[in-house]
Amino acid sequence: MKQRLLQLVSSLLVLSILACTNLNAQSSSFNDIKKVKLRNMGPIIKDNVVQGYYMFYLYDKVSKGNRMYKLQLLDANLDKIATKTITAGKYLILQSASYNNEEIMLKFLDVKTKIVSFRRYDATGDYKGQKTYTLENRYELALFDQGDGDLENITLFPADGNGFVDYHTTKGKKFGYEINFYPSNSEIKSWKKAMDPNSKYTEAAMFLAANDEMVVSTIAKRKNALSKDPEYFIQGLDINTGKELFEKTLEDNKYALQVISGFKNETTGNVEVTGFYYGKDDKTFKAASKGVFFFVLDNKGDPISRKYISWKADVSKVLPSNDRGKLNDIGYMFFHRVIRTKDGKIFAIAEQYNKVADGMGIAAMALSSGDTGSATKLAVENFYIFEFDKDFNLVDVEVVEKFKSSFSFPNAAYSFLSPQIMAQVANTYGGFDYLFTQNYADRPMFMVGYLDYERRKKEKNMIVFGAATHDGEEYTTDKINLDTKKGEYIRVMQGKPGHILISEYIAKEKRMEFRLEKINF
Amino acid sequence: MGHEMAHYVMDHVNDRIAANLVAIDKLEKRLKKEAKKSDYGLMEKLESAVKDITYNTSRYSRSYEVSADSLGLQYIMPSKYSSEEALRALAILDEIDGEKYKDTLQYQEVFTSIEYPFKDYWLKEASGGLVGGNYDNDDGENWESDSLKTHPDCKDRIELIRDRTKPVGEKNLQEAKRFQEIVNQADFEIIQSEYESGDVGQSLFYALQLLDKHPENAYLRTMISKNLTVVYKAQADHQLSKIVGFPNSRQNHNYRQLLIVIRNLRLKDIKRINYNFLQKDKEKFSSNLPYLKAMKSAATLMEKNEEISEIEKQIELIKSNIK
Repeated sequence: MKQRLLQLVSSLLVLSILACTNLNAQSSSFNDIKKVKLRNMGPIIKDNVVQGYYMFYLYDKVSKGNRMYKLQLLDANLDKIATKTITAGKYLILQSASYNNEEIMLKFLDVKTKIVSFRRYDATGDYKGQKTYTLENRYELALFDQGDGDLENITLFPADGNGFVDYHTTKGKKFGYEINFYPSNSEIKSWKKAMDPNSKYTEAAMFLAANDEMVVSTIAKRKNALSKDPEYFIQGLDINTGKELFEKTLEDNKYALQVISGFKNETTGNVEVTGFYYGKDDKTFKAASKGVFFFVLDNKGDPISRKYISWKADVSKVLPSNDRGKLNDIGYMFFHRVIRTKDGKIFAIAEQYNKVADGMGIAAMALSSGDTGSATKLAVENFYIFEFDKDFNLVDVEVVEKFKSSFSFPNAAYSFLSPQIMAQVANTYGGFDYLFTQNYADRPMFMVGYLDYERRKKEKNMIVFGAATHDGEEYTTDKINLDTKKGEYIRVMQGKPGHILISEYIAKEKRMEFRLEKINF
Repeated sequence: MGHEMAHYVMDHVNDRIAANLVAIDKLEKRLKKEAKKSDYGLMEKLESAVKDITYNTSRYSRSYEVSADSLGLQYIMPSKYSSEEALRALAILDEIDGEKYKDTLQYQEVFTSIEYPFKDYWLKEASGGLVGGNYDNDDGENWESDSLKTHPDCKDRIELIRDRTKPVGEKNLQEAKRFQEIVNQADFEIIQSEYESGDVGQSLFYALQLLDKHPENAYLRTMISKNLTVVYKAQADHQLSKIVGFPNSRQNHNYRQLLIVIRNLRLKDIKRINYNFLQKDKEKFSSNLPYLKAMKSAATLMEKNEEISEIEKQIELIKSNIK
């Protein structure tokens, strides 16, 4: 369902919509003065909190290969910060934006020249300079994350007042990673850390945390790109020089590990890592996990403490579960996010799924002699939100009910995959209903946003945006109807804490309206 | 009044429409010609042409205002009014955007009750983050703000007519008390006007501002409650931003503070504040029909069915007495 909605949105974004003529604090609207094309729009983020928005639109043709773009920066209340003009090639896209309390950094990609540029603006929108690198080949371009305007898929991170860190995939002899640091202080040089070109592994890097001393990342190493048993390492780089301070394997005597997230503990300064643990000889990519682990690491990457929450021993106390990670009568869980709230509690947000027969897929296979369609699909259902205390003890599990949706696979080969791998594939294609998690910086609250296809008795079925909010004490849900007349659409994006940004295309008036609304909880 | 009559007599409205149509026609022809020459830089040319038209229109508009001031003054000369009052009217206009009442409003006193005390964090805006409102930080899009003005500065208008005014005649022909009543009435009418036009944030603000001056006024209390009920319903339907603005640095302190409070309230807060706000004076206004209707709406949000029935009976009783 999310796929369908996103397709609709992307087709509408290339409609000719019009220059911004009215900006007041609660809403912005584009209307009929000048025709421009909105190319990209997204949030400006710091620590998973929306600080503002960018709108990047194609404005004018300058010459054969060059275009004039307008970049509009808005604060989190949709109040305008600045409008900037950028002249560049006609294949320029704005991928993501980040804010580090002092500067905004915008990440652009020129698809034709494969040049990635990072433009810095101060908080009032004044241009401060740019850095670039070039993607080496078409593999890197294909792998370059084009979706990280989406909050859940970010590769550009703020390192508080120090600067910004960017992660991307490289392709030499093996697939690898490159970490680029762009300082806010002009007296400090930018640096990059790349995988050793002679490494016998395929390596991928993921940001965990940054402080005034170092940038901490997880490095997953596989023997080759198709290998399904990665080893995880924790790497610390000097924030001023990029020099490697440590790279230590994250191993355990009893279990195999899969890292999914990490945080910097603001009180202790330690880095905390979380993920799934498996049997020592299990293939972590396709086996069922035994539970969730939490490691606390010191500033040399060594574990100070380890905690394991077992599906069988711990989760079964609050939910029925068996020892294969499949919860009895519930199915499997796909974990979208693990967050820490202001009061130190940890919440893991998971979506329930099952591998089921796909009647339509089987019919499609029969009609196409097996070329299209898959005999099985994923049935996606409720959210399960696992609550842990600050010492990583499981406290509670909340079930957020929603209607069942399904994700069908394009061909028969997918039927032979394990449910876990099918879920990975479905997540890549937007097959789950989960949209984002909104964390509050100043209070112990969070909100999970999702789509729900409501099947109503004697009424038209409806697509709704759902918000499950935990206010520190209890959960409440709120819903917004996204059904529109033909030719119109409503899209929901994350807003500042407690809010969502509703973008609405009103076909009759050929007008696009953006407005911030409160989530009720 | 003389100024507005002068606009009418000189047919400024139709003149302006005609001038705009001619300008748009010229613009279209100019752009078609440019587009034939080259595909490049069209938006820049369009922007430049739109600026020219807008500046021209504004210049015309300013000249109309000067003409209307001049002819308007002619109209006032033979009347019993002192022509010097035209200068005072322009001086008032010059300060019309400022706050009329500058006392700091104590929302925590209005919205608190024993049953549902005010929470201090309702007054606080989330700190940090990016701050907008820099409307002049635009590459190539800057407009000359002086050239956009449809009216000349009031100070300039005063100087243009000052020499022709005479300190002869009456400042005011109405009885002073009646005049003040009209002034006061305007303060009240703006509350209803904003409410009807859908700017509930402004309506609520004006009502709270006047309540500070007239704390015993049933109409103001009723309007505050009616606005809170509309805020509740809009927030429940995720339409609040259509009727209540977001706080920003350009607003005056009291209004901005009210918007911060509204943005911090949860649905349950709004309905409880509303309900308890009316409960405080329910004995005093037990025979006031609009007040009772507001009480019924507030009780409905709280789902207090017995109380709703009681209020309905009271409303029926008052209606039958009126008949």
